[in-house]
Amino acid sequence: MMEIKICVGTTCHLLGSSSLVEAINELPEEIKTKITLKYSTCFDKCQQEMVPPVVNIDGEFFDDLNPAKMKQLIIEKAGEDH
Amino acid sequence: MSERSFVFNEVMKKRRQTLIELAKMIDNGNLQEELPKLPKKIIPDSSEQVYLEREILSQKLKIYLGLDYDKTRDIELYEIAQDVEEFVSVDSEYKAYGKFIQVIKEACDRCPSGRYYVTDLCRNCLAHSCHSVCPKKAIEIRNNRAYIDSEKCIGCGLCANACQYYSIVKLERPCETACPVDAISRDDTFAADISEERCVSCGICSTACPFGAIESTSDFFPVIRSLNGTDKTIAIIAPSIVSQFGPRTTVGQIKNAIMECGFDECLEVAIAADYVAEKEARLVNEESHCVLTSCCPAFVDYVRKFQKPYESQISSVPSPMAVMGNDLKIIEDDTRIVFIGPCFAKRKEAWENKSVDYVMTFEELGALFIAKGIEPTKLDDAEIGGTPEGWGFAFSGGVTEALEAVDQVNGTVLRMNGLVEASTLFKRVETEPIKLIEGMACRGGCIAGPGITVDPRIAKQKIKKMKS
Repeated sequence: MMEIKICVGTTCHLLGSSSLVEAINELPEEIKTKITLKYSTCFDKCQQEMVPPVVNIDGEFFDDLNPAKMKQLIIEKAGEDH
Repeated sequence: MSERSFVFNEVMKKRRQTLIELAKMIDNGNLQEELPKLPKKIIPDSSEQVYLEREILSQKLKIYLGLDYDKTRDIELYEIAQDVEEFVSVDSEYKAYGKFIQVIKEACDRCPSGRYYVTDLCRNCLAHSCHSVCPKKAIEIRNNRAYIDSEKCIGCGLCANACQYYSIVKLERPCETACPVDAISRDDTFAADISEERCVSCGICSTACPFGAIESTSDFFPVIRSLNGTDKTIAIIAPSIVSQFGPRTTVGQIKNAIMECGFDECLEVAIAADYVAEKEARLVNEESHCVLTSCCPAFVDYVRKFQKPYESQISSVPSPMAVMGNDLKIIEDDTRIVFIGPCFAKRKEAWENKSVDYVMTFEELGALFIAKGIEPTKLDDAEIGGTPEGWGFAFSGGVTEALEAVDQVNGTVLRMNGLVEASTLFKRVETEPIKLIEGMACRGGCIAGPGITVDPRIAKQKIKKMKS
């Protein structure tokens, strides 16, 4: 299972984290069934090193995401697991 | 009843990034040095039309500073930065007095409108019904497809109706199509132009424009200044604030975050909405004529401008914002009251009735949180006042629900979900005995206003939950 945590803290929310959920809805069924999706409060990453919105996938952080980038990222990650 | 669709897009993202940086500068008092650098910071060198985009952003910054676009268009950003106090001062000649929605002509793409256009779907069929039906013989066949000669075309649309492949479309300007009161026309350069006589400041055009060419005059500067000054500053928050700052943030946390920003007090307008519901429910049943609700300023402006005979039937109970603002003004002298909501038209209401000093959008409040490094989800939950019905003023149908919770309305109620429905509903008032019109300019109510940060459908669910 791939665990995705989308930050819904104020900064990420204002800069588009809610739209990232759409990216997951658009994924093919076989990938979707392998994902657990959670909302997270602020990861404390956006004030310095990372550009919001920030997402954590299996413990690793990714930033500056939009739905297209997010989709691509998950598909790549799902491929690595096989 | 449906809410307007809401998609987070690049125009919004750029605006929010800009507002965050602007808030930091105003807060730190270094606008003079930093403001001219902002377009370069927000628009990267790799941008496709980097100079144009930076020029557009410079113009937008003037509007975010509360200035009049027409009067400051030719003034460079660094010139404004040098004398920013002068430019934004109370009696400055450059401020946008009474102008709440402004078009940035550099950003307007001058998209075509009213013209018919043949798309790739044309199969150059044998029937050529489009050609046969055209009364002006404006359609010929060129490059294996129908072609409309725009010189001859009178825009009747018969060809579009005749085509079996739906290959002919009418090109429309999103702002013009979205404007419910036909306030948008074209200036002599074909850019969008807003008629101040018709405009009701609803801001629907601003959310519709895909180029971000329409912005609302902001009070960001004086609000942040007031927070850092000696004056007492009170925030009053609109009911639609529920759910605005993400699924994990409670209204109590938002209240505490507002206090962290430096406000001396934060009060829920829902409390005033309860008072309004109480008074208005009685008024509706006492009056013999149809009563029009007064809470939506764009609706009130619409009635004054387009339904003059009904103006006297607007509820004599002021809007919840005005009730609360006026009350606070009696108790507290020398305070600044800031209404925080989803609305552009409230800016106009505040300017007219002086019930509050400034109006700020949820988007602007969010930018202020980020600029000050405040994360609401990390704060304690403060207590909130107001009944679920008072909070329900935020969505279309909610005002009626609140009134009916006080006293059953004896007669027909019309819920106007968006100004587009207005003329149809007023026609019904002419012929039917209508007791109440709940007027909401935005489709979905305040939760669908131009200054929101969350999908109206999500906001509505969350407010409805308060009732259970």
